[in-house]
Amino acid sequence: MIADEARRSARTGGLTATLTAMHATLADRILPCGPTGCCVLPEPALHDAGRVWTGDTIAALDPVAVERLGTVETPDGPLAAVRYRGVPGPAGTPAPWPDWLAALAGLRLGLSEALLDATVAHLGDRRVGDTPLVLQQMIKGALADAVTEQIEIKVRLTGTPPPAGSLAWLHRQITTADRMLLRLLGASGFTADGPGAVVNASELLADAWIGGEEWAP
Amino acid sequence: MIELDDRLGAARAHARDWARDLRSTALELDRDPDTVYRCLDNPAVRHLSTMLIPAPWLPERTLIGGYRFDGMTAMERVVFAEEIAAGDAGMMLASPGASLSGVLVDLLADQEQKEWFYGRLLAAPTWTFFALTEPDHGSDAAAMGTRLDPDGEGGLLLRGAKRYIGNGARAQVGVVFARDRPGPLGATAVLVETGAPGFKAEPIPTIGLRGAQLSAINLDGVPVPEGRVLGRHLSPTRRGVWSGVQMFNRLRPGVAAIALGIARSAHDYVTEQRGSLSKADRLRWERTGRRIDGVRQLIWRAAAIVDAQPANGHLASAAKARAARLAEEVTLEALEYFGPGARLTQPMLDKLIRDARGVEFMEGTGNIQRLNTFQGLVQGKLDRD
Repeated sequence: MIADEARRSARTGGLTATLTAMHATLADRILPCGPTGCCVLPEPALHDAGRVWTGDTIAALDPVAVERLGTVETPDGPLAAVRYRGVPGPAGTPAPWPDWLAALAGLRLGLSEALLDATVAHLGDRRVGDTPLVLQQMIKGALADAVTEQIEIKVRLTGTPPPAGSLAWLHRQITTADRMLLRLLGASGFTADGPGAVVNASELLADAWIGGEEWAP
Repeated sequence: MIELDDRLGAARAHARDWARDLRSTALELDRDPDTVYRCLDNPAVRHLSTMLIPAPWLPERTLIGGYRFDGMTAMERVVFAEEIAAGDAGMMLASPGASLSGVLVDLLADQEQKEWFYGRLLAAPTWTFFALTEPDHGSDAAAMGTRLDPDGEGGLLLRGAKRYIGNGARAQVGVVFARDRPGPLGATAVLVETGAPGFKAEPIPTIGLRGAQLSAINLDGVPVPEGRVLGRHLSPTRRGVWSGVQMFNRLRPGVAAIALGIARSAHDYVTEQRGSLSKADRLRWERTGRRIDGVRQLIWRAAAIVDAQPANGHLASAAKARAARLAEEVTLEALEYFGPGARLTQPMLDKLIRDARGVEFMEGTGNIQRLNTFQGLVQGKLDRD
């Protein structure tokens, strides 16, 4: 799934459905783990996995080496967090790493766009005195900053996917845009059944596959 | 640069020791907010449970480093708050005690009300709540929908709903803001017992700061004796908006200090867990440490100003906005010192990231604080000489 498809899917269909669809595009029911073996996927996607990304290549999966780390709650269902502790196999097929990261950025941007839609609706419903919050000058400015951030990310994700190094920065930029919007939602963005839970899951996805961008083992 | 005197220095050192214990229960409290009931003997929790009870009601308070502390000044509160929050901000907010209500009681209650309120707190560990925010109006007091009406028999009845109220579901007593007449001065605060008929509170699950157990409160004709109306001996002006402004000014530096504690905790975590940093990483992280030190100075200055002039909370707003942003930035930056998947494999860091998000909306979001700061600028109250 390319980044723009993932973005559109996530904006309308949500996180779990899009991540499931992204996973379905990978051959052989593969477990796509990040550089340290971490991975966050819908529960059904974990079943029957026969192969695994470890580092840059694809190898046979040792089921015993799949460690369960916990569950990431989202409003449209829980995701499973696991860590693969198996030894990387001999060099095999290269993992489609940049494509996955680009699609993941598209997914996260789509969620961020849905968050913007929800934030604008929320601020349109809330009033201070006779004026909807969304028409307050400071709020207008904050929304403009967030949407500008999103548009910049979208432009960079359109067409040829950016190199992996730039993708790491894009993921960080998506987190920034999300946090800008969450600040406009007040406590309603902090509840476990609200839009803030999706942002938390989105950040965890980025962290599993591309976190610690300046880190070297 | 502000330096602490011996008394506050002793407070800081002791609170820092307490905070180490809090780390051992932080993740447990995050999973299960009821963990606080098993931590009532923790020195930090015990201290919080008697903070904001003035000396006349508790003259034989335990000595800490040779001094007594009652939390009646913002400066004292920020010093403790940073250290305790650096241990676990969740426990800081989960603890029993007068908390936010205590500041309002100190400001508005008459002698009889104080005896009743402090008497409750001294008899046993008692949780309190502070209910201003509403589901449809946020903390916009002018639009508040909760009503306080005469019951026809000399008492009063509360009707309405409150949301995002810390400790609402576990408290025994607290303060509810309601409207008793139209107009901007028509807001009144009353003391309420959670066992009263018509009072119902349920926890709202949150992303972080789960110890605070934010709650939704429903008030369905809760009876309130006239003697529980705070500030009944004061003019409507002084017990309404005036008291609210004073109270939030006094509280805000403490909230800023909680954010600062979370940021420092993340900073300490990297230092402790990633011992062998490259020179470049170490220099970068030291710069972050200096940012934390700078915000601490801002908070101390804001607290000192609020203590000297309670009506001047503009710098407190600037400090709160700055500290809340710092907590988000530093906790996210901390991730960069670990490999991918750190949020899954380093649960304490994950918790700090989630907790940091929660401070943004406590005592007003960043935009509200920016507006307050702007007011301070145009009114010439920011001490820019």
